[in-house]
Amino acid sequence: MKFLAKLFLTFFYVNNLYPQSQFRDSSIYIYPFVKYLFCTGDYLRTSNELQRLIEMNQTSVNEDTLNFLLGKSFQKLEQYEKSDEYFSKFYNSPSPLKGFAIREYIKNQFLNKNDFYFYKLFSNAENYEWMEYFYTLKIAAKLRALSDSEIEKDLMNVRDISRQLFLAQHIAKMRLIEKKDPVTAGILSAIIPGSGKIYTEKYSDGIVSFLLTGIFGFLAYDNFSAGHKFRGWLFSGIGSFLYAGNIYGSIMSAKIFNSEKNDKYRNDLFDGLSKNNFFIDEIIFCP
Amino acid sequence: MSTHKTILVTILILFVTQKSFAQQIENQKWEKIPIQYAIPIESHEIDLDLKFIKPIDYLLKPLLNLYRITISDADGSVCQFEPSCSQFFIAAVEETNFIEGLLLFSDRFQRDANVFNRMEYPLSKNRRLIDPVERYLSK
Repeated sequence: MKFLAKLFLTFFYVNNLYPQSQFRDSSIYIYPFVKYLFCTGDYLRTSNELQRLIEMNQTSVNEDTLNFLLGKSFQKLEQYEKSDEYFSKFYNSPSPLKGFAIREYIKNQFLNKNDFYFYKLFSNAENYEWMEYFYTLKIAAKLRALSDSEIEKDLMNVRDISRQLFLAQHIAKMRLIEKKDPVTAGILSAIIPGSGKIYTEKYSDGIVSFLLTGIFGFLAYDNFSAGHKFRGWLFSGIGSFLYAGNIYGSIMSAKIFNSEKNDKYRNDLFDGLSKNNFFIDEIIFCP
Repeated sequence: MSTHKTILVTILILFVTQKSFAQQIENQKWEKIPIQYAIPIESHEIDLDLKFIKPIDYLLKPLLNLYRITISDADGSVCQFEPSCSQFFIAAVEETNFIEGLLLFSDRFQRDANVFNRMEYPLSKNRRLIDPVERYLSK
């Protein structure tokens, strides 16, 4: 009787374990799991599971969908070269996702800060929409590099009004970025200590520099006048050290001012592009 | 000696040694620890750097130690920045050259004297203003 009970239990457990392994390795169940991972933002595990799914080669899900999701996952992981590999599979594919994939490929070049060297790929009339999208991000890349060479010529190739408006606004903003000349800041500080910092809008730093240099200059003058040569030289030395630092600091302050303004502009541009989803229509994978 | 006796003796020895190890030491009796409400005062030992490895150290380290003895030790650890002014000086000289490092330090010293510029810098965990040398070198 005991033997029979043991046999029954063994049989029962084996039967229960077998369907579990089936569940885990079945392509039917992996795809919903992948979608869940993708939608919860776990792109690393999404890419791993998708690669496993493609290797199994038994899936009922369309391979184009898997390639697209894999490309998107690598894009989110900022592995743009790998992402390109999957999006470029759509070039000669009749898939309905082809247009989206090409746009994502162009977006990758923008995000990866690559040159837009591949424009000849889209230079035929058939791919007019891709050309337009290509020029949109090419202009955005030029704006990010704060360059406006031939930017109007490129803008002529963008006919969508919302994109044109967005780009034109940012071209105008780029041309109006406030800049401070480091040489002017240095010269100003050499003439009146601290004035270079005031020029770069660091008002309190400028006043402190003026006071410190002025106090030590006065102390040096006063001690030389009173015949205290050692103290005169000591205060002259400290005053000169502060004076030279004030000129150098003003030059640096102007450079930092320019850099901060440029960074703010770049962040605004990127926020604007992200807000518009990089001008790509959203494919709804997640419920 | 029979096996049972050996086991018993072993257990007994183990028990006794364990007990004796766990015993209190006579001159360290357990007692109530008086609670200290006073805030511990930080050590005022001057952290002098006397390692002369590179040739520039013979010029740099005496200046740095002089600054630490005369200025930094006199007013305590009150530098509002992180890294502190002396650490900034070392980093600036290491990253650039002696003259440029000295100029960067002079500028930092003047900014340190300004108490109205606190909003410009991000705050560290120690509530100090983050201002590394890299900020000036990457521009």
